[in-house]
Amino acid sequence: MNPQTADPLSIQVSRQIYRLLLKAYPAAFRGEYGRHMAQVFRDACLHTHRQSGPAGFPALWALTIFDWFKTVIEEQVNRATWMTRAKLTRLAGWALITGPIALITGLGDPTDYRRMYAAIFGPPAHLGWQEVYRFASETVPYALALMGMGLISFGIVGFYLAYREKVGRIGRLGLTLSAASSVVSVLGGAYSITGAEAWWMIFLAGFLLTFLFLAVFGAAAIHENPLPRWNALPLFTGLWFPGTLALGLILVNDESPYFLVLPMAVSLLGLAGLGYVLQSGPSAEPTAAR
Amino acid sequence: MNTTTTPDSFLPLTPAVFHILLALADGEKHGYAIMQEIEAISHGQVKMGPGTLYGSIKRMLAAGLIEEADERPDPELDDQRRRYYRLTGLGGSVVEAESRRLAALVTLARSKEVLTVGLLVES
Repeated sequence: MNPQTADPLSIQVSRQIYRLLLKAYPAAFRGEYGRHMAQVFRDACLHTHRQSGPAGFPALWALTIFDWFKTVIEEQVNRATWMTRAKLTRLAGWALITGPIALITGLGDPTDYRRMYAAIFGPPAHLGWQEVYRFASETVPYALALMGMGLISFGIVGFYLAYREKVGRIGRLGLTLSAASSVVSVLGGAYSITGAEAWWMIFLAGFLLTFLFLAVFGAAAIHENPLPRWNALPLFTGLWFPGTLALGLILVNDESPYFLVLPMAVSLLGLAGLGYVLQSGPSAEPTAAR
Repeated sequence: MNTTTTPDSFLPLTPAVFHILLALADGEKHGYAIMQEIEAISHGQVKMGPGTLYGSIKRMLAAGLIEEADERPDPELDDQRRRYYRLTGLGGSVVEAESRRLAALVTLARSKEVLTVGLLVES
């Protein structure tokens, strides 16, 4: 005979009600622990029945309802927070993938853009159209570069949110400063439209520091392995562009594309790789023990 | 994946987590046995519901403080299979660190004459 069908009526009714209450928990939590919670509740019912008979049930139910109300809210809030965070992380990953593409496209020569417009829309028929082509060839790359840097900045902030708890103090500091530098770079880029050289320099300095501080995180990542894969990529990405640039400008005094555009493209490709890691990261619900 | 969590980074613990760790300190137990142990060691002052118990267990498993042992029936209750839990090494260190922290607080309370030795023994 199933021992549960031999339970007194008060216990059978209580178990049925508790089973209904369990439906208020998130499905994943219910699936993992619902059976065990129902089992524990039945044990508590049996214990109460043995000790006090049906008269003990109001106190048991008062405790159970309070516990149910509090923990349903907790679990539902946890679930909602996790879903928001997971969506944000995925978006940040895509931002890190698309940002470098936009940035590298925006850093193209305006003359190339004028050629592209001419190829698409035909050569400008009169002076007015030439002015339109000239304006567009300067504005579009600027907007693309700025948008690209903004996306990279958002991506690094997302990277920080996803991995700050998985690295030590040094790695966390590196990511914080990298994210802050990327924001400074965006601001510098935005204000550089005024034509002031200083803002352009702030954009470049912020851009370089974004990579250098990412390398600091990368050094910690090599040691602590916070990423699900490619833990050497942040260090490589962070060091490659500033390192090659320094080599070209300081040691060889060469401003050729081999020491500027190509290393930058490689590091931006590295950022896109980190974006892939971020958006395809682990989907398990993060939890804190406290 | 390597994490850099130290026992102190978990402190202070919530009463629920601390009591669950204490309940598991002397060996593995299933959910209801944990509840009974907590009620016993707190002299009936802490009564934990199933939601608090399994919500805490979920978070403690994720943090690596406890681990699942196996599912087997409790010979003293019935023939249902129950999931048993036990402390991990980290969980043992965390409960020790929290106990030290609380003991230091008690010492502080004594030094400020908020708590007399007599009262402590009496309780």
